[in-house]
Amino acid sequence: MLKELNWIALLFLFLFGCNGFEPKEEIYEPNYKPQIIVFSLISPEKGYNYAIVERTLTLEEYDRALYSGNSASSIVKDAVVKIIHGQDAVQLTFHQSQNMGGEDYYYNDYFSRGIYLDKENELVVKPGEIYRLRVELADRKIITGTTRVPGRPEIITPESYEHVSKHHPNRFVINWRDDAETAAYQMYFFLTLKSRYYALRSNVFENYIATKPPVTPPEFLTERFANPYGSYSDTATVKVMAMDRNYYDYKRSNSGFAEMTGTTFNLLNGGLGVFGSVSLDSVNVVLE
Amino acid sequence: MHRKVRNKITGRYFSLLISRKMKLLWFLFLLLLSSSLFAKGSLKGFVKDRANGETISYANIVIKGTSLGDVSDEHGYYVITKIPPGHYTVKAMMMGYESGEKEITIFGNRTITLDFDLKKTTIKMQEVVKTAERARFERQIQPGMMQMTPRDIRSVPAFVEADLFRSLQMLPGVVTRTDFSSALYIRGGNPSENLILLDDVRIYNPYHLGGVFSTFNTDAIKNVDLSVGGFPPRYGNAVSSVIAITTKEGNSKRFESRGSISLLSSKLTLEHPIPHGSILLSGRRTYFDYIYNTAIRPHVNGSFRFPYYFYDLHGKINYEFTPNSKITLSGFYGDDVLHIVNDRWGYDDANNYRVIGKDITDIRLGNRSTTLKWRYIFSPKLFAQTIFATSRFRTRFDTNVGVIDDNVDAKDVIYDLTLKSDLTYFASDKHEIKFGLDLMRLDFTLYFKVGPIEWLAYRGKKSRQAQFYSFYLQDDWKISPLLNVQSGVRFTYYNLGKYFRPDPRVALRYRLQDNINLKLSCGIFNQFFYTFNPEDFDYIRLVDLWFPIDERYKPIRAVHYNAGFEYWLNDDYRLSIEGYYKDYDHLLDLNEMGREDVDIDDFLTGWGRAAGLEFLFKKQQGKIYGWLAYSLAFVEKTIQLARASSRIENKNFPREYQTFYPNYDRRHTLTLVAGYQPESKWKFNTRFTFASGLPETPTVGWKVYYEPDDNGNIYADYRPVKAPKNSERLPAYIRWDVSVSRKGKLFGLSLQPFFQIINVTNHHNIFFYDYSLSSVEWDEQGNIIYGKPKRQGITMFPILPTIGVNFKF
Repeated sequence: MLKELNWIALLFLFLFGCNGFEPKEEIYEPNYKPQIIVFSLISPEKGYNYAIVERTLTLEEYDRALYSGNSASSIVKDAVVKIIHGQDAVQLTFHQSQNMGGEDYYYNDYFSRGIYLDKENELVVKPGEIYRLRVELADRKIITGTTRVPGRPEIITPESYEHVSKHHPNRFVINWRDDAETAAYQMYFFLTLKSRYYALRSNVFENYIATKPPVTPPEFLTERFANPYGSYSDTATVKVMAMDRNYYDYKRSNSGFAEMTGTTFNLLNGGLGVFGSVSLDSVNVVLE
Repeated sequence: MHRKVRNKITGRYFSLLISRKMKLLWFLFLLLLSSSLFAKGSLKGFVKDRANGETISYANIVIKGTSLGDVSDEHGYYVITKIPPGHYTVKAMMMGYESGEKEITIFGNRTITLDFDLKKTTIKMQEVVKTAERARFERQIQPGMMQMTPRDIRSVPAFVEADLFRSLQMLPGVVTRTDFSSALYIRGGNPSENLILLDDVRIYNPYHLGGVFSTFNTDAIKNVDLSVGGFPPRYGNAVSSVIAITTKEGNSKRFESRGSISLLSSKLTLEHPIPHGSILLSGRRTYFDYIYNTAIRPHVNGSFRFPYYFYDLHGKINYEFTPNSKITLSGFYGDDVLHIVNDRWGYDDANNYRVIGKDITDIRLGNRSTTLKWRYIFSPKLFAQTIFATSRFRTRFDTNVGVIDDNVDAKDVIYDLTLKSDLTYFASDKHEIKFGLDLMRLDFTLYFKVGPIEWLAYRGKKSRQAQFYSFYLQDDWKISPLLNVQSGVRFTYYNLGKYFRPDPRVALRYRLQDNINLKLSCGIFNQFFYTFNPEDFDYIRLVDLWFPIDERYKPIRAVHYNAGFEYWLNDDYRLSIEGYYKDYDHLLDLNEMGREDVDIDDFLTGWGRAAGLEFLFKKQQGKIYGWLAYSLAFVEKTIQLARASSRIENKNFPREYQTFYPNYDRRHTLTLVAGYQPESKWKFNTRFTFASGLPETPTVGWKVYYEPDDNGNIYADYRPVKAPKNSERLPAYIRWDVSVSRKGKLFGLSLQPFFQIINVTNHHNIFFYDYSLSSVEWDEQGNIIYGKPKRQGITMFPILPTIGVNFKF
């Protein structure tokens, strides 16, 4: 038996010697062909009505785009982008800002990368109406999408400049006119934190999304008011952004579990991306 | 004269009377005799192990010189009816036991109770005795039924110690995803779809250590029946499989104890007779926390205390009031406990940085069940078993880390109250009718509270109650010596959603030859509760989060079609080939884009199908034993595309679906389990698995994600682009384990030390890939070097030697 055990031990040593403990790193080059991806949003409010047409990046391109500062290389500049409402069509024009850097760099990055805008403010976006997006690429490939602009979430309570208690903020209720076909509502409660050196506007609702009214500010708002680093302004702004189904799906696909799985949800025909719409309403309240 | 005449007349009259009475008596006697001659008696009883009083299933009982006989059922009970009057020798036979013979006289339609106590033997019997497997081959009608004995379980070398689920995964049709999870995926079903019964009581979370081990102590197991599809109407509320675990009853003849010590845990099982019954107590506990905290911790710096242990405890008391009436009270208690205490550092009132408190994380999860079982034999033809059981599964997750926003309070509890009765009526030698009731009340509690935000799973409530009322009827009909049909139906009424579901099921067995069976079965199966576990994150099944399907969704439904061919080459070798097709409907998958506060968004619905072909070649007896199995399987699911806003369902927004292979779709699985036990005390076991790769979804590129603020300004961020869901496959899984053990004695103690090596070839079985998607580096001058993206496989068990010892006294 001892002899057999010796042989077995030798066999194990041999097998063990043929294997490392951990597999080595290997080069990973998936066979991936980038696709066109569009982000377009319209709204009755100013500041929206744009489209970004670009393509996704391969893994190698990503490094170069990020570290060389050449993130604009994936932008498609020669597309024909139209937003159609009934028989009317408005063509968006490509705009690329030459101003790079500066304090506004972070927010204006999309301008420097390139964006399709309604420069002449021709597009009239009406709540409840259906709009279509049509993107025609240089190779005649066409991408389309449809959105129904959500109804304006007209805020019923609080009323404009209503007095709201700082110490019991959860006693007031934010209520607005609900649109049955609106997917969800992004909530904002803007406060300005003031100190000797700065004034910082912050949304205490953070990423809170409601699916229907009414909403009460979260309980931890009381803690926010007890901020040791400064005092809050005497007024605050309550804002409600109604989102259509497309934009809400796009937003949700990039948060929570869905962000972890990283699935790209295709909300357009002929390409990736989203064509969505939002409507907003806001009131100012007095904090006391 | 008068006297003479009178006497004469009286004599004549008397003789006449006598003769009349005699005729009557003769008539009655003949009637009785004829009724005795033509009436037929019955024989019933139990077959038991002489050493410990445990009942023996699938033993053969024959009346010598006749064609009459029976095979003992899962309770060890047998019935032979229609025995003509006479004197007979009855013989009970079972492989591994000496045959038992008893003389009986059948007179009239009396029923005789005849129990057999068979003695175990290691001597090979000269006579041909059928194995339990062979007896089951002759008795069972449905395809897809397999049994696993403690010997089979111990034949499979396992990580650290023998484990039931690790052994079951070596059978055809059973798939596991990783070495770290013993969750079983059976014939295209996921673990939520298995009905796991411990002594007829459902167990909701059968895992320890986050799924690495199953919760069942193998020392207390008597046998395990696995039905991988087409199971009979007795079982319900599951759409995939039934794993029925029967524990030992306890030695009713003498005190017996056994145990083992492994690197993981210590086990001890005690059995003792009591008047008219027996008692069994079996426990297991991990002990590394004790060793570390008492022996190691004082010698190392730091306040770290090893925070984890698990235990399980199984107890059983049997009491036999009469041979026909027996009560069993049993309990099963198991818990996993993780209790982490860390010092919380901070500034005190005097602005000194020091320990100001304790951060505590407390996780407890486990099962508790208590069962009262009454077995009663109303008549030889009517056997009944009634169970009243309470079962509770609980997961509790609590953290107290000082910061209110980071404290977590989560709870998942199922409280199960079950009353069920199963009756078997041996109507004739052609019909065996089974029927019963199954009443269940389940209270589900599930909520998460992270800081001030609370998520309530059940439509804004912390808990929800579900009730099930089931009735089943089944007939095993022996149409001819060659053809048996089992048909039946299970009706279930479910209060949430007010669903009423009839599940018809039929199975057929045709004996082509004495040693060849052809089997067919089909049936409808409904399941009324399910788990929240998202499939995409089910790498490790830490815990099953159950919920009752309510009016928002329909019960999950499956239709099974099975066909089997079973061939005994001789009394030892068996070949089985089975094919199946399963159609799933109303499948549920967690909506990854769902909202915590929007109950309508919890699940995505869809359908699926599974098909496969399985081969099993098994050798049961002899010095070399074991089995070789191969499974070819296809699983496909079509599930609604994830949507955040299912609130809107109109013609402008039709539902979209995607079809994919679920992440447990293993195409090929080849397993070998072999044991070699020479006459000596040595025993060698090995297992080998080759399994083709599982689907995965790799990252293939990058995209920009945009989010505007309330003024339209855009925030941009890069996000990975994934390949189509589960479109790639991991490399094949290969694992070879070996074990060796030797029996010996030390101070009168029977010892069996064992040594085993897991993954002998140290094959790198990939658990998942860790992707290094950015490979930018800087040289000494600070210039960027662009490299290639890389990935590294995170592997499962490397080569792992383990030791332990089994003991018995």
